[in-house]
Amino acid sequence: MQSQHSNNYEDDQDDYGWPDEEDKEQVSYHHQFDNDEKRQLEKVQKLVELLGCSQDQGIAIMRFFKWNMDKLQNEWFSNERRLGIKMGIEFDNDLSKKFPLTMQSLAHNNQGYCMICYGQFSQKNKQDNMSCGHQFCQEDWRSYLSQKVNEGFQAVQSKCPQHLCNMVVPHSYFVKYLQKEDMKTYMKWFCKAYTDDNKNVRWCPYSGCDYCVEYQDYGESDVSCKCGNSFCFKCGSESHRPCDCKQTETWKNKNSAESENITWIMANTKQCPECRKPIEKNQGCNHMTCKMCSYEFCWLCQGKWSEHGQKTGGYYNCNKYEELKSKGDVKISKDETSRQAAKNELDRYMFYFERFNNHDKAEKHARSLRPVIKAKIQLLHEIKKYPPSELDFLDEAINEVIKCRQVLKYTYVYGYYLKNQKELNLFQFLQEDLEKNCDYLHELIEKPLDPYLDTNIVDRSTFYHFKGQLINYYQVTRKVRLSS
Amino acid sequence: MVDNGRIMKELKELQEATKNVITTSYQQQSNPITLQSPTQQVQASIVGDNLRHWTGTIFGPKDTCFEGGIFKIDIEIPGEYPFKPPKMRFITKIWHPNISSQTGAICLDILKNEWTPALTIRTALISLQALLCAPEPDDPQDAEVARQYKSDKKLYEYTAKMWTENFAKEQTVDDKVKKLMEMGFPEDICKEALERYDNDENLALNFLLGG
Repeated sequence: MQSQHSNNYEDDQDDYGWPDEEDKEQVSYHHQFDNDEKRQLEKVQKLVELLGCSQDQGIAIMRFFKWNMDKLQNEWFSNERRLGIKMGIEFDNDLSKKFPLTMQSLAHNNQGYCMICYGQFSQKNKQDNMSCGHQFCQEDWRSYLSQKVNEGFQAVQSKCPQHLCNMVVPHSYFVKYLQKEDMKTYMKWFCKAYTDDNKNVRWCPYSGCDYCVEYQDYGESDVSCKCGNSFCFKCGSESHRPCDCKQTETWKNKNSAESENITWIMANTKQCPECRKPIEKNQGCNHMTCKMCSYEFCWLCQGKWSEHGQKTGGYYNCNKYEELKSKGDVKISKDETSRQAAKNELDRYMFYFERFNNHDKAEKHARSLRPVIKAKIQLLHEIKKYPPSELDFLDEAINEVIKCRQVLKYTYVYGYYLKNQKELNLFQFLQEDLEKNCDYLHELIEKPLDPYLDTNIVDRSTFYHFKGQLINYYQVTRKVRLSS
Repeated sequence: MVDNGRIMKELKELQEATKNVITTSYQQQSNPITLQSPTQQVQASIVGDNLRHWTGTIFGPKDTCFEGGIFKIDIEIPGEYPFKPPKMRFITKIWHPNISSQTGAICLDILKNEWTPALTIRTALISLQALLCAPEPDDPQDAEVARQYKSDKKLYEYTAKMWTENFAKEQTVDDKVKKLMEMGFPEDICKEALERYDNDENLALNFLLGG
């Protein structure tokens, strides 16, 4: 049932792919439901043909080299035997000299007894052994492997039940002995081992997402997961373009180190510039309307919203931050200068942090809006009979807003670390452009869709007008995002 | 999975081994020159009539701070045995980096993740004995002991010996007399005091000091 559901979901998602954007070779799949084991076994099969080994050995070799074929080809052929012992597919004969106990359960030592249950081998109680030769009765193999599987994902690395024996229990033994429920658990671990070990596979970092992405080139690049989110394949955290991983890491550390101060400085509320009532921002854009006095203002600079029209040189002029000019005319002592510099630096940081945080919050709002929009699409389809293909634009728009917010968020990190003045000007121009478009788009999509649901209104032109507007802005925003 | 057959067999083997020790030491006793304590052996017996609760005994290995000590170990056998390791804990107090000086909890890999069903109670006890020979202060159970072991080995050895002396040895009356005499009391008075307090060393000492 669950698997069915997840597949449907994927099909939906496929329709809204962004093919022109991420055209590199990448595969996103659900690690349990999308035949993960098949992917593994196909790769193993290639190795089996190459080396002429068994499938069990192929799995062990692949795991040892963490599914990296290049490394495998470099190292395996020069050192087959030593590596075979190391990865547990060839018995280490030296053990018998060092630890005589290891030999106890071998056929010529065990006197027909199983060293686990101490029962005698017989027709009923048959023995079985891996290539190391340690014999145990079949019932005990079953109990042993079942125990291991229920202990956790390390089960795939289980060794022969004989103490100190280096042989790894092959895949086929689990398949042979495990029963229904245990087998299910084992396959879960089997798939997990692949995803965990393989450097070309990463889990989607978004909570509640069970997908992973397989990607061949693990440089710094964004991949998009089937859940609709995208993340950086190199560091495995959310997309942070235009910053690189290192900058992002530094920024995050800086935030966590100073965040207590910062959050203390800016609580989540601001006072209305007109009536001084504290206001909490709970929607995505900067256009605030005070509920008490209906005063409209900009959340960031707290200036009048009317001044933010296009006439006055763009909505977001307040975002340009110019460093405070140091007071050169007064003679300031050395202490004073350094204090001033520290203060300027903190101001600068706060400027960028505040805006980073702002977009982060907006991004979260947009994310929470996504399911609402989905439901609305469904309603529009059911009540007003719009074909689904005519409604896709809503979903595309909200996804675009999320992506834009993500990019914008990190443009402030990028800006914070950007020291070159010329580049900074150009960068700020682009940033402003994107911000303007994104905010407008965000505001459009946040407007309630309910009027379009009214069955009494037959005229669809308002809806189509809205749609046209939204699509237009969606496309503009997208263009701006991709160009910057 | 609950398999008493194996436990019964293990117990029988251990008891036979113990019997052998007794006979050998008896033979050895007849020849006083080669008289030796059976240090390499371990023993175990069942507590009450619960087949899954045992008491193990290991003898302090020669040339260590634990030489001459007799250490009792509480052994609980879980239902999943032998697929899960037995739970072991020192009853006798012991000063060792890998054994808690408070609770007797043991830090030993084969009693945790390195356990395999082909091991037995007997092999586990022998491993414990080996642990007494070779402490691993880098993987400690008792941080205080481990710190002492690493910073002041002499003090560690002294403490460990004292603990062995005080907690892990059955003392004969003669030993006790000797101890009291070392404190400066005459032999006959010491003997008398011990006799009076049923060989309780502490009460006898109190009496000597008070009287």
